[in-house]
Amino acid sequence: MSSLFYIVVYLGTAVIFISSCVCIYARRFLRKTSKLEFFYIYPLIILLQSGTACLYVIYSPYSPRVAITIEKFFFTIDLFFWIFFYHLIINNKSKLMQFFLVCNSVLFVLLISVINLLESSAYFGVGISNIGKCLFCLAYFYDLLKSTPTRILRNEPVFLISLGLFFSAALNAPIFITIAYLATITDKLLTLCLFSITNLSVIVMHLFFIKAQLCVRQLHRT
Amino acid sequence: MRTTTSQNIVLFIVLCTILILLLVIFIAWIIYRYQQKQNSYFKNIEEIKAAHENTLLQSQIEMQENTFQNISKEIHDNIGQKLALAKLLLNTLPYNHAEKVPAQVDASVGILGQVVSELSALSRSMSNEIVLENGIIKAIEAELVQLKKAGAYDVNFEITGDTIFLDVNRELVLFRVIQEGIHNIIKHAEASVINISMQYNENSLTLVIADNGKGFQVKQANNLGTGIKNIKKRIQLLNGTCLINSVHNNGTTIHIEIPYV
Repeated sequence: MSSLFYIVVYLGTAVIFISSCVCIYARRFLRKTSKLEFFYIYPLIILLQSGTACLYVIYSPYSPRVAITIEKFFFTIDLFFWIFFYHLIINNKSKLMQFFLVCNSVLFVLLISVINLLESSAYFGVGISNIGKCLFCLAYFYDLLKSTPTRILRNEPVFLISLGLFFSAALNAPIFITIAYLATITDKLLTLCLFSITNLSVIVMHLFFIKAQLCVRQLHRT
Repeated sequence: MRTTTSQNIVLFIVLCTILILLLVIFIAWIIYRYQQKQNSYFKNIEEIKAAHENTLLQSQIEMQENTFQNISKEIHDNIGQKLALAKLLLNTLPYNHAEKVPAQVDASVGILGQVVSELSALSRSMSNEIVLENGIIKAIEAELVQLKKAGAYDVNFEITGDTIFLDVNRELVLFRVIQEGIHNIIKHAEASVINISMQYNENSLTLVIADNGKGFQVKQANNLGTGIKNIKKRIQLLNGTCLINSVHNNGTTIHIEIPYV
């Protein structure tokens, strides 16, 4: 099981690396006025994530606190990125939607800040940030269903990005929220299974990101 | 211990599978709802297009009928009357007074000559050959030359911008609009000056037909005059806009703007 876990980790690293390269490649096909431009900061976030993961692995045996702080810093940046992204992408100007977005943003920023201060581990905070991402994705889907249906969804980059993010966040949220508790009552094997699932969901998310970037290129060609 | 671990793993796999299935069902439901909405939207668009095309077709048929009516009226009122008069003159030739016959024959020949001219002018005005062969500008110039020959009007034609050749059908419709405009001025305006200008813009053509006639109530003309209606319907066919300004005793201006495609 642990070897399967490491296979998933290596596969995930490879997929994330390919996703960053495709993202950088597809950037040139994007129209200058496209709202999707903000998404191209994501390769930097991925680099940050990789760096964070490496630092976590290095520091965790010596100074677990530093490692956890680095982890908390990363997922906070990650959440801020998605909050800004969805504020740009969602077109709906209705008061209800604006109120929902602003409230959600403020709520989750405050929640994450409090959790980072109070919690000793990073997992609960990651779980909560995943719930936040789910809510923003749901807001986007709601906006999509309310807007004029002229887009072809299988070629719509923002839809594919949101689909991948929603799938990953919805799957990871319950795992990360309960992992600290589950780790105390189950053995290491099950914990590895749980982390394998989270890694697999991240792989699926990045596969959707790769497809979204290829659609950007295809839209440019048409 | 092993049994507990195995049970936990089985429970974990079941829960994960259920969660993944729920997520997939939710995503599929969003896609299905969007697809339904899209199908309904495109169906509405098709219906609106079909209704619009139907309206345009009705307009075209109406314009054709109006044209036939105008021709019928022209033939009956002018040409028919003159031919009847020529026939009467020839039928009542005074053979008993041979000296009066040449004068009456000459009068009949004169009337028949007028009929031939009018038929020729009618045929020329209905023909689209000049537009097809020489383009709209030459066609307008030829039309204005005929108008100047009558001597009743001071006619000015101005072109600005680089000439762009439109689709021949669009040019034809535009030419009929100008003919209709000139016809209205002759029939109703009591004008002495007719100004026609064509401005070729980047994406559209601006056509202005102006006169110094007596003017008219634009709202009344909308309800009664087929000439104005014909102009507006033709411009609608070209996806253009038509504005008519008229001031009492201060002339009328028809401002038309049509896109190139």
